[in-house]
Amino acid sequence: MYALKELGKYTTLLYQALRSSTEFGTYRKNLFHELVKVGYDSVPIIILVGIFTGSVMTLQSAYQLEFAFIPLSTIGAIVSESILIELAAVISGLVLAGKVGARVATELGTMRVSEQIDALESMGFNSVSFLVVPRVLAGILMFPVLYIVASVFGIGGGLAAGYFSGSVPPADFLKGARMFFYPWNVVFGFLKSFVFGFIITTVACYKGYYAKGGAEGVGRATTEATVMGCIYILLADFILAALLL
Amino acid sequence: MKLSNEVKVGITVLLAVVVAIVGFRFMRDIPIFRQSMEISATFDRADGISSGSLVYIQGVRVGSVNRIALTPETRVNIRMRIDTDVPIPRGSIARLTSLGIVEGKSIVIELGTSDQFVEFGEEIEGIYAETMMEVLGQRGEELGDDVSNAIYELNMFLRQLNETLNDDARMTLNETLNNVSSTTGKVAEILEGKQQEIDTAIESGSRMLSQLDTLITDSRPQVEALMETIEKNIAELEGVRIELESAASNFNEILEKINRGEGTIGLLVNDPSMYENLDSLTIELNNLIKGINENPGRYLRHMSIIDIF
Repeated sequence: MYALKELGKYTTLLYQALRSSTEFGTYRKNLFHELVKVGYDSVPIIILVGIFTGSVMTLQSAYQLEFAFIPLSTIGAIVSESILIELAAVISGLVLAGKVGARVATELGTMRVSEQIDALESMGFNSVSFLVVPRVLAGILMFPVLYIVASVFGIGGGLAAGYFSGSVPPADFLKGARMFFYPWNVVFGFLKSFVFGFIITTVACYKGYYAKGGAEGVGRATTEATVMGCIYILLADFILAALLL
Repeated sequence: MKLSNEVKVGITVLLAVVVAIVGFRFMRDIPIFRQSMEISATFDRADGISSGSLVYIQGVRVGSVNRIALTPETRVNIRMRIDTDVPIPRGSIARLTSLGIVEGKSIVIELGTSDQFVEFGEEIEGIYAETMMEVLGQRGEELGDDVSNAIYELNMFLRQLNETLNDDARMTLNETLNNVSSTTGKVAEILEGKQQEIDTAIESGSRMLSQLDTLITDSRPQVEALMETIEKNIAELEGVRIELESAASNFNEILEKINRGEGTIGLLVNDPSMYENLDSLTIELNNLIKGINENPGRYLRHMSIIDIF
């Protein structure tokens, strides 16, 4: 019953956001602020995540396949495909669930418990349009961008790790990466990052928007936003893979 | 310079889009800044080829597979993106093959010799080359059957050989070998037994030869004396012959004289009158004898037997 009530509140919030998404003038300034917070400010951490994911993948694949009777180019194929399909989207998603989700939930929760949202409402502002819509839009728009960054730096990091460790020559790595490169994988990765962006921001907005009980409530909302965001990302990852692959 | 939020977002999105497009084309092996060549080829099948598989000319990677489609004739049309400055002549052949046992499939373009070149989107001939692994896979069973048949037959042969060489046969073979061995032994024995005789024979032969040699050496002076005597005789004979010759010439002279009618014998021989006288005498004698025969009384009238005797 509790779950159904939560689902209903969540869906209602989404509906309100969708309906007020036409009020561009209300959230235009906030949208760009959020786009910078979600996208531009996350680029460094995403680059770091991408490089380390790719290089670790390469080193570990090379280690695991050391004695197997396979060409070295296979390692390039494994690394680049894994990054494009799965890792670039999911690992960035998990990192951003912490970075973006926590921030959004804390901001909205604090505004809720300090009755700023009520103040907005009493001044005649559409609080959903003013606070939720720009954050969700920023997530939807910026996560695919971050996916691109993560993919490029992931594959580049894998290539570099193979080169510097001497386990995989760059030519073999690229040969394998190109041989098994399917455009659909990129589309799939884009779709994933789009969905993850939506999940992280909506869950965080929901948890923060309906936070209650002072500082402790804000803390709980932030924790739940982060944890639930991660869980829903993994769940969505599974569902998308089951449906689309 | 303080960037406004809009600019920051714009930079981020623009860079991401550019990187995405470049990266995508890079991974698809499409040249990033220029339009590439595109050709197609139709194969019977396309096992192991996927979009992104590499295309080679003379072992150099020149492009990748772009699109794979099944034709209405259930063949496979493969479009390839070729990125090379070298033009591809008409009549070139695309061979779908494997570069190694563990490598994936690739397309190898064997260049033709025509002066005309393939245009964008044109189709060239495609050949699906079965790799060794596929042939092995398809014909492995057959091969296995053959091998097992061969082994079976070999087994049969060995078994038959074994059966042929059963205990009896083995015994016979053994006996034969024993016989041969004993025969050889006997021959050796005989040779051993007769050894002395053979030795003796050889010794006497050798002695005989040496005696002969001694004999020849010993009798040499006698022989020489004999030869000398013979030579002397021959010289004497020569003298005899000369005397005989002179005798013969004397005799010749005598005969010549006779021929010429000199002397008594010469006249006798050469004068025919004597022969004629003799001849007429003979005839008259004949007539006389005939007359006596025919008429004895005529001649005997005057004679009586008693008178005569």
